[in-house]
Amino acid sequence: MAFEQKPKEVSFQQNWSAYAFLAPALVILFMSLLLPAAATLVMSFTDVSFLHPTNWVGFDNYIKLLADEKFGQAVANTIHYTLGVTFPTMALGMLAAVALNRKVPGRIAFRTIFYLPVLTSLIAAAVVWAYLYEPYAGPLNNALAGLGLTPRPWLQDPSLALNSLIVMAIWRDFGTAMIIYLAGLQDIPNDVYEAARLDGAPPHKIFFRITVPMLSSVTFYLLIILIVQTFQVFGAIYVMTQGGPLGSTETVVYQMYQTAFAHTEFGYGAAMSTVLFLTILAFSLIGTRIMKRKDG
Amino acid sequence: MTKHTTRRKFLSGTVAGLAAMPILMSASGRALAADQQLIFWSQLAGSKKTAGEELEKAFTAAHPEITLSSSLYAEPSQLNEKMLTAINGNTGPDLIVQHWDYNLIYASGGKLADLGKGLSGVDVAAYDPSLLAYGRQGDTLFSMPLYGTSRGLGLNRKLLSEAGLNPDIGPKNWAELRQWAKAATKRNGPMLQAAGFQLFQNDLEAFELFTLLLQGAGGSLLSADLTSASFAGPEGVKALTFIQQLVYEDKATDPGFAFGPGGMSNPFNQGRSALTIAGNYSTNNALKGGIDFDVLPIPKENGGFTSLVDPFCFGVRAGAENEAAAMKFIEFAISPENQVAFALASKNVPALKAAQQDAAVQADKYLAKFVETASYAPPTAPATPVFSRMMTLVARGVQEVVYGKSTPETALKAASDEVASLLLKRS
Repeated sequence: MAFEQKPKEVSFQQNWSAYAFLAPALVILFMSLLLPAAATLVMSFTDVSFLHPTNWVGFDNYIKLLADEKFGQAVANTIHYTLGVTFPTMALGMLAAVALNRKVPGRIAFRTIFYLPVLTSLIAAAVVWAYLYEPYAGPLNNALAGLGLTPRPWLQDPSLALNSLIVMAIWRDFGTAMIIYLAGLQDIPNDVYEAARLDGAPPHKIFFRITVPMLSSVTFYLLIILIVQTFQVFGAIYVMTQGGPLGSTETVVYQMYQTAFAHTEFGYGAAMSTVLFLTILAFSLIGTRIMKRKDG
Repeated sequence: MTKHTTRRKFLSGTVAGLAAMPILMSASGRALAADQQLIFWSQLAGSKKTAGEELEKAFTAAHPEITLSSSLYAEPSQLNEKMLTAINGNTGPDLIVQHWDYNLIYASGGKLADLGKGLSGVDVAAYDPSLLAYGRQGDTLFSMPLYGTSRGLGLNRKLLSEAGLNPDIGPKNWAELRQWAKAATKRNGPMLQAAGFQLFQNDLEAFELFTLLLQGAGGSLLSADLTSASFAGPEGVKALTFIQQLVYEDKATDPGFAFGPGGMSNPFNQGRSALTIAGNYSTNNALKGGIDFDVLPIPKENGGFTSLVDPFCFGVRAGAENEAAAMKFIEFAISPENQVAFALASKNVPALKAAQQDAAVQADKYLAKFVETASYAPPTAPATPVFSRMMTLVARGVQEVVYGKSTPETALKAASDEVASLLLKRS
């Protein structure tokens, strides 16, 4: 009969050195993450401006948000941007990963080329894309004109500007999706593919019936990180459009920045920030739960 | 005997070090506070960088008893972020030079000192009243202009000459301005090759264009006591209708033309606009772009000229440790010789009236023109703490009309209602 050893209980006093080593990191974590987050939540219930005496306003900022048309437009823009970036990025990332998972000539070079935009400075990329989109001398419109098509004011037209930013974001992000999918593809056993091929399954059925389902954990993971990332878009908008034209590229984070720093309404900005945080948290929790259920 | 560092000794040392940190930090804080240096946060960057550096060098030479510690910020918004966080931490510089509207916000919270007391030896009447108006709140002078930029009608002489127009004699009223814009426009099918009149590239320029036209029609943004919005009246509608006509009747530009980053990507600097609203800051890039650039006053609706000025001002933080040294710096910078030197080096309009008329300033081709256009600016300013909100709202209204989403009356009414509510809240 095997003797089951009871785990040895270790007292706090015996482990104090471990806690002492952890303490600096925990203090930094608390000071840099938890404290600002808690302060933001408290600020959202005040009219703090750092210039005038602060008053407790209860849920006024949240009630104001509900009636704020510009915030509504920013939320709609953010959702549009998030959906517009997330799904094409994942689809392109998966296609690129599947294509470059085979032993084709130059696959390492292509993997590197596709991943390079991720490594590029966002500001540098935004400046280059602003030039590409330039309506009169930009290469994109020159190419369209060369093909006999009408040039378009990509960043100057309210109906085109956000979609133009989405295209740039997809270009920048799909390399990340490709790398993550490539890692996922390595985990799919070759036997499964061989069995399918022996059964005479055509390539498209193999892709949809084997590859896609077996990458579902990776897909959920990517979905969550892309949603969280795109909800917080700021840099490209700040450089390329400053929220314009006509507020068509104004997202929640950009509006939050403007509200806090340009209009010194930190309390109202904090309420926007809290709403964004709760939205991202909800997506993260839903994603985690779905993944756990799948794993179970 | 060899000494061994045990884990216990190491941890004890770490804990002791952590415990000592607040004491050390407190001691260094006291040491910094005790040092009598003038902390100056400056926004004299870009085209003003050399002028700012020369000014600081001259001050240090003239006042060796004061240690000047200067930090440069590239954009007014960056300095603003730093200021707000410093105010929150109850710290900050002794002296700042910043775009006027930010100073106004700090002053509305009592964070800037009354310069009327600190600069009691300065004859304030010797300075341009149009620029000074941006530094007052009621009767209190909280912000002293170092310089300003003014607005004129920027011309591409080559494009205008090609259109058969004489760029030496500009348009004298709105009707002529429309004719000029229409005549100078070049199109190739749907492509606008050169705009007759480039409207704006961002919210601030949209707001300024509207303000200039509003003044040209005889109106103003706010009432004289700055407590109510007055831009949605008949003058405002005329101004916005004029913009609408340029786009939709004269087709002198396209909606969104020029919207985007400035600098060399501005169509005017690429030779693709005949007319634009120009400021002192426009000169360098236009010349760099090889434009045959010129500046004329902006015509009013029925003759006469208008303009606006946009000052960068000194402010002294309320409760600054070295207020006296900060006041000395301001006095030094606004002295006649330094006003001329700064204007010549930065190509901006000096705040001192005598410096504006100085022979060296008048000998500078473009600077002299912007000094002239500054003289057409009204001696009042929309100096309200809700300015940044008002600017955004008015700019939005202008863009709604330009993009055909609204009529001038509706757009202005909506903006005016929101500004009125902001002013009411502030009062």
